[in-house]
Amino acid sequence: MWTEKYRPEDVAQIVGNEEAKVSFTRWLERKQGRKAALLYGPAGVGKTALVHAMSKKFQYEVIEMNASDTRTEKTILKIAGPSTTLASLEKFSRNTKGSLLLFDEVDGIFGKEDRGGVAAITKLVEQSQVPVVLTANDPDLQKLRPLKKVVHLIRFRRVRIPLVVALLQKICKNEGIVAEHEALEIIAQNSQGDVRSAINDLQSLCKGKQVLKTEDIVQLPMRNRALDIHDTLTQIFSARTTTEALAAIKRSSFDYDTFLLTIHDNLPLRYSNPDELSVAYDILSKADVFRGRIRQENWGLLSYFFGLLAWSSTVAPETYQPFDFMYPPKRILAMFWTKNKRILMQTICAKIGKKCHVSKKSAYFEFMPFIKAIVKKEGKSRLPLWFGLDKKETDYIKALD
Amino acid sequence: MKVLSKRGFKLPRLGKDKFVELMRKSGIGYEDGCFFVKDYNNVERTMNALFQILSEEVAFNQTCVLCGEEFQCLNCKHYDVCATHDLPLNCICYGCRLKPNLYDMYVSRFKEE
Repeated sequence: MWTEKYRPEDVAQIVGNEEAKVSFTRWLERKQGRKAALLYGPAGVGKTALVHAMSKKFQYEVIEMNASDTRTEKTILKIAGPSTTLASLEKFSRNTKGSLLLFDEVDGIFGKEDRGGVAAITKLVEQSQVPVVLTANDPDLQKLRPLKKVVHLIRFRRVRIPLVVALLQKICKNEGIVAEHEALEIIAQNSQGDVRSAINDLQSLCKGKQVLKTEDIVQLPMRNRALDIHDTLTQIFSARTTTEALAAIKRSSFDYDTFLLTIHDNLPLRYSNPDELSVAYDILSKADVFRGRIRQENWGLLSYFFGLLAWSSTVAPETYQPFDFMYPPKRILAMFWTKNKRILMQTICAKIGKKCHVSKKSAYFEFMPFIKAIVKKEGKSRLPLWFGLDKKETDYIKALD
Repeated sequence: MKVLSKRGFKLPRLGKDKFVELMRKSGIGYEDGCFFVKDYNNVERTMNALFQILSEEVAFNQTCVLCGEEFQCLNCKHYDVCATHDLPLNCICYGCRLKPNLYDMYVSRFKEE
């Protein structure tokens, strides 16, 4: 594979993302704050390659856990735990600075197989005495939010087309292939800044050939890359027509509910005219009705849902002005910030329900208002004791509005 | 469209609150009477903040990674397909694109640094 053969061994060999390279170097030299760095951005732009090249440059021994490993709390702590607290033996035997922990594609940690993975990494980052580097495609995922608070963020972008062309020219020269400049430009454009896929495309097109012409590129299938949330929102809100917005919605890979909430939150920022805003919300409310019906397995209505979302964002295309998008949606953020409180309330209701032989829901709606009033009124009530509530839970009930 | 240089640009007088907001939230720095792009993680936010201040669309000059020259995206033939056009980033200028062995030049330039 040419992607392996031409894997960059030196930082200078990685094309593009010069700002990210500088930021990562400064962080690794410990000139910038936090213990861990999260390199995020689209696939194939050199995130992992940069970590390996930098480790080589700064003489770190890389301990890597990637998406093919099981990354449960237990395995992470077993493999990575000791290296974060103990000095590596290699530090004494070889000329290295010690270990560097690399968790590749942390947004791929999900499901039963990787239970507790993100929490374990967060814990490791906080306690680690060695540099910890994480890579991800989408750092906005809900499960990664605790991690984002404790890491130094470095964004990678799609590599500019002239830089990809320069790399492809070099590969062609090394492989003895005479390639037309335009052909290489088409490959680079089609890769949309993904260097890995550009090299793969070049290899597949050059198989058994010594000359690569523009006509040969016809065989190349168009890459239909999913848009990230920022690109999606930019494209749908700046679209001149509903069809344009619809195309952007179909290219995004976000779940329908998050998307609906995101558009809901951004409409007031998009439309300053109250009449336009009211029309947009009216259309969005219809989209919500369709979403409700789709939930009941009416998947045939999905195109109407998309169409209404696109329509709500293009009510007055001529009035578009760039604005800061609100993402993640407020509702999801509120759920995130109140998570601990909700868990505490559920525990209290479970204890009340067990004692009174009612469900948690009944305990919350029918018992809690009275228990709250009693506990507040009688400072030293025996009720919490009877329910088996601890001090934290009792204090929480007392503090309720 | 207002074309700015990421290394330094002037803005009209903003007032204290707007200036503080620009420094804290928009990834812009201020030194020797000039504003510059400080944080490259969210340059889209920087562009939006500048749009609000200048009331016209903003485009940043690109810096050539090979010769250091500043140039605009507008005349680039990849403008429509480039996802990052007009952002304050690096690229290869029109003159350097015609040179042979671009990749070797790129590598040697960064090895120097």
